[in-house]
Amino acid sequence: MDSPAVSRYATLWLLVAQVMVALPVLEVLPIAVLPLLVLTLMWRALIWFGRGSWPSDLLRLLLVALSLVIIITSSGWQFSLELAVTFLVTGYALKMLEMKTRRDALVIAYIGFFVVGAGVIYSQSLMQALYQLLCLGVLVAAIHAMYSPASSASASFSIKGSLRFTGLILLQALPLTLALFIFVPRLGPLWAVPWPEGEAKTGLSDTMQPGDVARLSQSYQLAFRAQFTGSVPSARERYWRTLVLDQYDGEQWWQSDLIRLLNQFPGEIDDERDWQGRLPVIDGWWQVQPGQYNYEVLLEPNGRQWLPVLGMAAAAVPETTVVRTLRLEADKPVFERRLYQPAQQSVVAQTMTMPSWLLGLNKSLPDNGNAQSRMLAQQLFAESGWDPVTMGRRVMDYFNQEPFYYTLSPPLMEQNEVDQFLFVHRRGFCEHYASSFVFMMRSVGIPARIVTGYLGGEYLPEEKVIRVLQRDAHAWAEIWVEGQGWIRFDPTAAVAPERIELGIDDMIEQGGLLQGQIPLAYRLGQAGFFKSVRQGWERLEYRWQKSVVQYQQEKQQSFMKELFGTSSFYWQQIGVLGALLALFLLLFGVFALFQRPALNPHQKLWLRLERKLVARGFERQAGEGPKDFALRVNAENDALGAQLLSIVDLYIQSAYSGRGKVEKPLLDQLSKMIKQL
Amino acid sequence: MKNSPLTASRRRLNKQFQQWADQRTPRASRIQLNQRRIYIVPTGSGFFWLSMVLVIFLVAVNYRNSLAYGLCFFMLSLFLLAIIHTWRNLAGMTLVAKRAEAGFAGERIPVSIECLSERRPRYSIAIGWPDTESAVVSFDSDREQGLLAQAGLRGWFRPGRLRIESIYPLGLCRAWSWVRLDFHSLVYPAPDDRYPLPENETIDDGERSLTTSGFEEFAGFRTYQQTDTPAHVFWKGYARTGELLTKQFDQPSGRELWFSLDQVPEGDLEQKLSVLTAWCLQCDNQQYAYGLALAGQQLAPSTGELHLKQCLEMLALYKLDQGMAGGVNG
Repeated sequence: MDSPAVSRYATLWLLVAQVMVALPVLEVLPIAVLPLLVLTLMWRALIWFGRGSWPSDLLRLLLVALSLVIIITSSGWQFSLELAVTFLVTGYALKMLEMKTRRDALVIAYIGFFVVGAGVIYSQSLMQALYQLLCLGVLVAAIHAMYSPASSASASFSIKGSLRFTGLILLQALPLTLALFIFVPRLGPLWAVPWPEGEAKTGLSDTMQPGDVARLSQSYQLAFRAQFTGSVPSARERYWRTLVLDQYDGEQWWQSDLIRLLNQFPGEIDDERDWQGRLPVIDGWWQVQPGQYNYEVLLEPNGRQWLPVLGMAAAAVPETTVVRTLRLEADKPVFERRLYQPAQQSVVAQTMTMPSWLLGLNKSLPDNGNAQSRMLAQQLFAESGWDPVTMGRRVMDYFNQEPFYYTLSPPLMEQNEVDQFLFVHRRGFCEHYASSFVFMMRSVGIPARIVTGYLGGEYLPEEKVIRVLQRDAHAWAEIWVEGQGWIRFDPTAAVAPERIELGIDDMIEQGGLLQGQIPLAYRLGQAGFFKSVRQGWERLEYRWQKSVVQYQQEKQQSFMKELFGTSSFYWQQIGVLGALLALFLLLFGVFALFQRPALNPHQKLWLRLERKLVARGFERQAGEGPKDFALRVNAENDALGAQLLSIVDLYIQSAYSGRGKVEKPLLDQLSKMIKQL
Repeated sequence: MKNSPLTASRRRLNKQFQQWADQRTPRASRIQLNQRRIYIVPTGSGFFWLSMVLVIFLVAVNYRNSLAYGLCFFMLSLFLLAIIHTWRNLAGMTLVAKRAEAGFAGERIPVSIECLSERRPRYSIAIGWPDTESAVVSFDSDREQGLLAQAGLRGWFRPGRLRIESIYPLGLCRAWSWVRLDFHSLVYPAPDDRYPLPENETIDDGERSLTTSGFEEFAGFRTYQQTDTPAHVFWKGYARTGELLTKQFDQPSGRELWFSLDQVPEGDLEQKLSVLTAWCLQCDNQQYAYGLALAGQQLAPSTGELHLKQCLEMLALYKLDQGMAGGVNG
């Protein structure tokens, strides 16, 4: 059972595929592996050109040992997705150096499919999908070349042949893939898997520099889903409170934690009980009342402890604590998808208390910096009659009346960023507005803090589910007013009310985020063809993400309901449907390909004539020629025979005139005569 | 290995399959491969491919990754399409038994098979008898392929099942067909030269005595003909005159050899026929005139290729019963 040798064409395809499939995952590979990959690739290429010799067994063994050492030292023994990808890519490269038989080549191609599979875990963008499809095409061509006739003499068996075959089979496979994609039921995850390293970090962070949230708005990754029983909040109420950033050093904002607070306020905070609690109601913090919304949250794993809650978290639920900043925190970082049901309770605002240390923390600012902003704040505070709430509204008005713009790509602001933002650039994303708002509040002595979380989400009415993506991330502000508790101000609403009303997707969809509100000079800078291409692509990408990448359980269910119009559509039925569809396509394929030899027009006419004559009781015997047949009919039936003889003459004329090409008038006449018969 | 129970049961299974396949598809000299004849199953790499599809499906499920689902379904679609493409590579092609050279039982006989592409290019098709010779062919028009076939018993040449197989284009499925081609040629009994030519025996009528002296008298020259053995060419005369002459020997009627089954001392019919075959070949080689007398049929003593052929054909077909007609592996 010797496996045949690999043709040069197959090797070439595999070399191309090696580079192509490795590119999307290149950045997750340990850097030390890269020279090894380049070396093996070049070596194999040299062999292909006939310039190099195969490495000896010993050398190959050394290379394998070397790569093992590199992989293990750079990623450790811990199993991670990166480790798996590194193994696959290096395996591909090393196997290329000992690829002699078709079996070896096949192993390599199959590794290639796995590398493509790993690549789509890292990115599911439209561009990535198209690119990976191209990679799949090259791999299919490589396999085709392995099984193609070895003789390279004939051009049709060469690269062109593989290309043509690949194009054909891709075209045939895509509809089938699409049908399977739509109908095969999606399952929930069966077990926990290691997530890509970078992935756990996309999502909110407990420190915030201007620009962080804007970066998140590029991520289409699902953050969580909330399923409601009873009433569902309207779009402008969907503030998913997640983090409270109350520490500020003049450059960045971050969230307090107990250890830092104990250092910051020695003697003032006694222990954990002053900061976070497990009890449903904590005496002295606030009082609770029944809440309006009853919902469950299914949080995607993000490696963090904070849990999004609609509005202020009033009470803890099992395995969580409630923090004094009115947020919910899990006991352990969430590494697997987690379901929790926030308490259906809300805080009675008037009953909130504020210890002096917390008050101090929420007023603190660095001693200097951003002088202009401080002056503006003083001025506005005076204009609002030294009333905190009026001051909040006044700042919102200021954002609204002055030429401020809401943009996903704000300019870089380094020193005195608040001043830079308020007086120079005036373009920013939500975190710019929230942080300058809080800065101005604090500068006039009003306790204020930044809250980050998500705003909005896509509502699926069938399941009463709100799906929130990372790109819904948002930052807003809260100020403390004695007797009224913490009051939410969203400065973004003053600049871009549609962000609150419509959500970020519709803003992008309408082009509202980048156009229109941007000064002319800035607009001209990005005007022109490239920008419209980029925007068109962004819209396409959005559709892709929404319809394909997010096509998971609920989406599929609601699509099926839309398709079949019933709400009692069960998984089994979808499964059966999918299976039937696949079977149908398969059978269709088989029968479509089982073709009878094509008949010439005159042969078709002759068959029609024979059927007509059978109806009259004359059947042509096997081996009886047309002429003999006509003569036999003539002997029995004069009238019919005479007609038939002239038809046969015509038939013979058309069958043997010219090579295969029958003249049209001749055929028409034949057909007419047969009809008249 | 050969006698292990696994291979034994496998062989039994294989035999049952072959019988079933034979019932479905009769022997003919021109056979078109159609859905009755083509079988298709996944290859080892096909099964591996399916397990890859499963692994990627699990990845897709656990990562809730739509593109991984897409990849999984794409690979599944490729597998389904590969079934059709592989099947289609064989479907419709026609095999015609063109000719086979006459040979002796047990020999490998060169045959010529015409593969008709039937208007579709065919790629990487392995065609042949697994235990003698196979060739991998690709053709986009009709093609004649020479192969060696194992001849079975004497009689009509019925070679074993010809296997046509292809895993083109992706190696995921193996489509194959067994065809039994009829060549309309003969297999002569295998020569058995255990016994020397019979000596001085008379056949039944007793009138003509047979001599086995092997010595004939020189009778003269005639001009050379292409069928003459080089041994009888008058080479000395050629060297002298440049004219090719053949020496002729007198073959008196008394010196003719008659062969019959009774002359073979022992053995069953087949063995006796083999011995007679060997005698005929021996006589032909030495240019003796020989005749055959089998029950009910006679061939008068003569020499030459045509005579030999007639004798061998008579021996091949003598008392040929239907059960034996197929040859061993047919």
